[in-house]
Amino acid sequence: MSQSRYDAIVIGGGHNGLIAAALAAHAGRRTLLLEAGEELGGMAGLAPSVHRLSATVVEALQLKRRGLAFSASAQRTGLLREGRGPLSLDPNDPGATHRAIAGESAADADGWRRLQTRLARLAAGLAPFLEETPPRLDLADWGERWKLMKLGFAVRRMGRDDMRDLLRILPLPVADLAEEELETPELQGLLALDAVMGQKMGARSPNTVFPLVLRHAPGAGAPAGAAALVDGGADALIDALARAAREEGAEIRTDAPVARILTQDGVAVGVETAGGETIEAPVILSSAHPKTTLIDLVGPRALDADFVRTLRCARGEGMTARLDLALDGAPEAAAPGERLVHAPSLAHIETAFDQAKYGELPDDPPLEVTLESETRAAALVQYAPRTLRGTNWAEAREAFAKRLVDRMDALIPGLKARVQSATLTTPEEIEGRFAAPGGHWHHLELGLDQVFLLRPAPGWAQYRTPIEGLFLCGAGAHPGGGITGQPGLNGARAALAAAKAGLRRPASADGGAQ
Amino acid sequence: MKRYDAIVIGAGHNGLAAAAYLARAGAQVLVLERREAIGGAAISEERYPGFTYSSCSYVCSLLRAEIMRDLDLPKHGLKIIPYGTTTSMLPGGDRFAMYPDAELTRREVARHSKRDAEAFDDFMRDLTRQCRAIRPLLLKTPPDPTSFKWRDLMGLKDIADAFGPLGEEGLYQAMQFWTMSCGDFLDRYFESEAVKGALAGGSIIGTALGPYSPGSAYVLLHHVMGDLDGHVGAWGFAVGGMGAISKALAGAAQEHGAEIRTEAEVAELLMDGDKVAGVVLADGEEVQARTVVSNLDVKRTFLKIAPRKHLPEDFVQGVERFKIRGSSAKLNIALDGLPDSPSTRHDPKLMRGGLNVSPSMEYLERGYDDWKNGTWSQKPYLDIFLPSTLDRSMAPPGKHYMSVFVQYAPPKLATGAWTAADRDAMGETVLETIEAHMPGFRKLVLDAWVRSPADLEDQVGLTEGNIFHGELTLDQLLFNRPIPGWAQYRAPIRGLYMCGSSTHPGGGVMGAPGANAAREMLQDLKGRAA
Repeated sequence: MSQSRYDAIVIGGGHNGLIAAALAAHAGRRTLLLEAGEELGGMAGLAPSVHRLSATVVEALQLKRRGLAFSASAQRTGLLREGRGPLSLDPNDPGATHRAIAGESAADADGWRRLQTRLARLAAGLAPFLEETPPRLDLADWGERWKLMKLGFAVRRMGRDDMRDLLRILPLPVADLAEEELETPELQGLLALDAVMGQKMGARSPNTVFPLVLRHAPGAGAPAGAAALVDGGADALIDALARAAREEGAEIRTDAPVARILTQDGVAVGVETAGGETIEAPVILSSAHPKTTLIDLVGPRALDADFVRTLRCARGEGMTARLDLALDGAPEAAAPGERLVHAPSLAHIETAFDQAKYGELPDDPPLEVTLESETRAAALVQYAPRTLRGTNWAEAREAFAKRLVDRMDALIPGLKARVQSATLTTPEEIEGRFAAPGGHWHHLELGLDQVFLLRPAPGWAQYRTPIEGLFLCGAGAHPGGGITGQPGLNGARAALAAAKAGLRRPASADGGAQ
Repeated sequence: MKRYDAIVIGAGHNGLAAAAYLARAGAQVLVLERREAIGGAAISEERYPGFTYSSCSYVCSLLRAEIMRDLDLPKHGLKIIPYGTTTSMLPGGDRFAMYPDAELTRREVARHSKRDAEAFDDFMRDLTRQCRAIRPLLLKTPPDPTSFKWRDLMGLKDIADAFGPLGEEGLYQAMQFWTMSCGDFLDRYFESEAVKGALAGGSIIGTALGPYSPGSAYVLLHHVMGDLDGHVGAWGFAVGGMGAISKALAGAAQEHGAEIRTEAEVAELLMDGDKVAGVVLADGEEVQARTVVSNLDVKRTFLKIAPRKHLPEDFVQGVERFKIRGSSAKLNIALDGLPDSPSTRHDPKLMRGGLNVSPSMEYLERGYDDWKNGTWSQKPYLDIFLPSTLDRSMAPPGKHYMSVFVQYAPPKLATGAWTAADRDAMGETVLETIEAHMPGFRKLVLDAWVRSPADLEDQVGLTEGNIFHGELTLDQLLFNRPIPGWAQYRAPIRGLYMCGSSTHPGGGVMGAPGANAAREMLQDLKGRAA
């Protein structure tokens, strides 16, 4: 019989939730993590590779000791070309990459290398913005002013040229940057797909260089800009995080969906599970979607109407599906661990986007295919709208999956013969399975108008919420999605600091939960 | 041989504004214009007997009141008739009309959606608040955020002072405004496609962005900056057409002693070592001057006229990368009478204002898709005016002049360069679109002068036919305009300056770039005189 009173409750057992639970427990808080599903991991299971996992998290939670092992080499990328072998880019072997690209264009061989170092340098300049809790623009508050000035100096420290470069290219459409720096269509396509993957953005949408720069921020286990390969994949990472949480003393319950977050006059006092159990805690950390957390679990009645309206306005329409293939063996064309990218040109991506933005399924969607093992392959499908026009996923699903397999067979000869089964996970299913309205795997779009100070809502980027004691620690919070663990880390730190400083308690201790 | 203090290349409205400010401060100024008439894209032309066309720019929206005052333009014959309404003509004869009187507009909104009517006040308040913040920056030189020079730090303080009063909420809103799409912005307030479509028009005019492209919200701001406070001259027609603005500016310049020469094309700069010494005309004539300021867009200035060997490599690269994307076309039409639209029958006064074809967000977005695919919008956004309804001097009695602005049209077609047949086909698309909203219109057409982006480039000298001398996107605004590090009107060549719309605060018949450039030049001229 587990107790029904804790110091902290964490909602959601994705990577961010686990990190938050582990850190809370590590700080000596009696911590309970509640996961709605049978399995831990949340959306991390959708990611074929681990990008920019915060080294601080790996360190703080001693993940290496707890079984996290990065494979020695970062993920290789093959650019698919119909009728020709893939153009292979290997972050572990710059020389080979240089030679491979030189086969297409001598200029691009150097240009690609130059661009990679440039993006990594700019991303490193943004690090303080990504890693720390954003300040508020409350200029009357000298503490906030000081934080802002520190960020200002951080940018100036980049040096004049990089600062000018950053201020110019962040709002650029990735297509413009690609055309400025590269001439090989497949390389331009890769750059653009890496920028827009997971987002409702096209190659020619302004502000798309920003997510590209994000991708090049430093992370554990791989050189900047490259994806790290975890032995055992995302599952192994989740196991290590779960082990960390448990060993630090956190209690983890699966199959335990939260029905309500209980509040008393604006203060969080606990949660009620779907099973009807009431569990009390002065600190609630939610890694669930901000809209789910506040509008569904807390409820609009306990919130300011303007805040609810602002939150409802936050954009997060899923545009990416995942196709899982069970294989009876790897096709010759692909090596396990490698990602194969189908984005032959900027125009190709833009055309697909222009169809999807009206709710249509693209004729030839850009793909990122990863052979996860000899018997498992996964394809990220860009674009697959959350809501289809003139039809629905129940009707379109099978035909689309079949169309994708046929298309992939043309790109990866011999693949289809190996396919035992193909399962498509649509944004609609992602929405349902992970209680993420819109089915966006970053919870909220990573547009310049929804990041940093503005994420998840303007003025609420500090992980706290209008409900005292309720904190956000998921992808909907700064700095957003991807398996960085940063929201979990920052969210937990913010909650622990607030608890230490002393949280307001409900005035009417007896007043029943609203 | 005479040596001028300043030569202005190009007699567009910004060049003339710069000339007037320079001359007013006592400088000896010569303006050189390639064409036979001054005005550039702010020009009135009689192409069809008895009709005066505002053949490029067509409404006076953003001309700064400060400039009107400083240069005493009314005294030089500038008279602006404000016009009241903008009507979006909807399929089936319905409409969404916007009036100067907010209450009337709210009632129109309510006809389309009760909920939207409630949001309308918030929308106007937020929009106005953001415009007020930008306004004071229009006539200021952008600071260099990477510099520690006192004037740059003070410039940054000016920006802080301009936005500071917005308060915390307003500041967040500003951050979103400068980064988000017009569509996402409008979706926060409105549900009616008719209302959103009509309001979104301002976010795409002259811009190679769709209404759902991030950054388009700022373009909307850029177009409404002028018409707030409702002071006369904010939105209106210049009596005699847009050329009247150029005439008045030229008059002010000449009154202060500036000389203006037309049919005097500048071929290259006259150099004295690494500094400017004047210009060389196409016919070989040399004219000497201490400074030269170019009203041309940056690509024409630095890739055609300025000596490349005197320009830093990264600067040239910046110029080549500067985005000037033609996206607009223009029709000037002589009509045998006043056209009729079911959308305006209930209130004929609406004919004296703007008439738009902008029925929904998707209509505009699909128009943009056509542009991306290398063709003009098959269902174009149209911004239509009948200036002769307010200014009888524009057309013979009983007849009317119609100005039609068309978005989108690409500078090059997927099939290659524009041909005469392409131009006619685009004209046909536009005329049919008008006919669909104004039945019987085509029977009134006496003359239809169609100008593709290619025509605007060849005839007016707008690179790619871009009416703003460069996209108004965040990467090309404020201290990024035209090129990071070169946003203070000075060029890398000593004595050479820029005063066209490629510089802050950008396009629109505003005159601010000209006035700002003149201020910087006078500072340097004084410095060197001393």
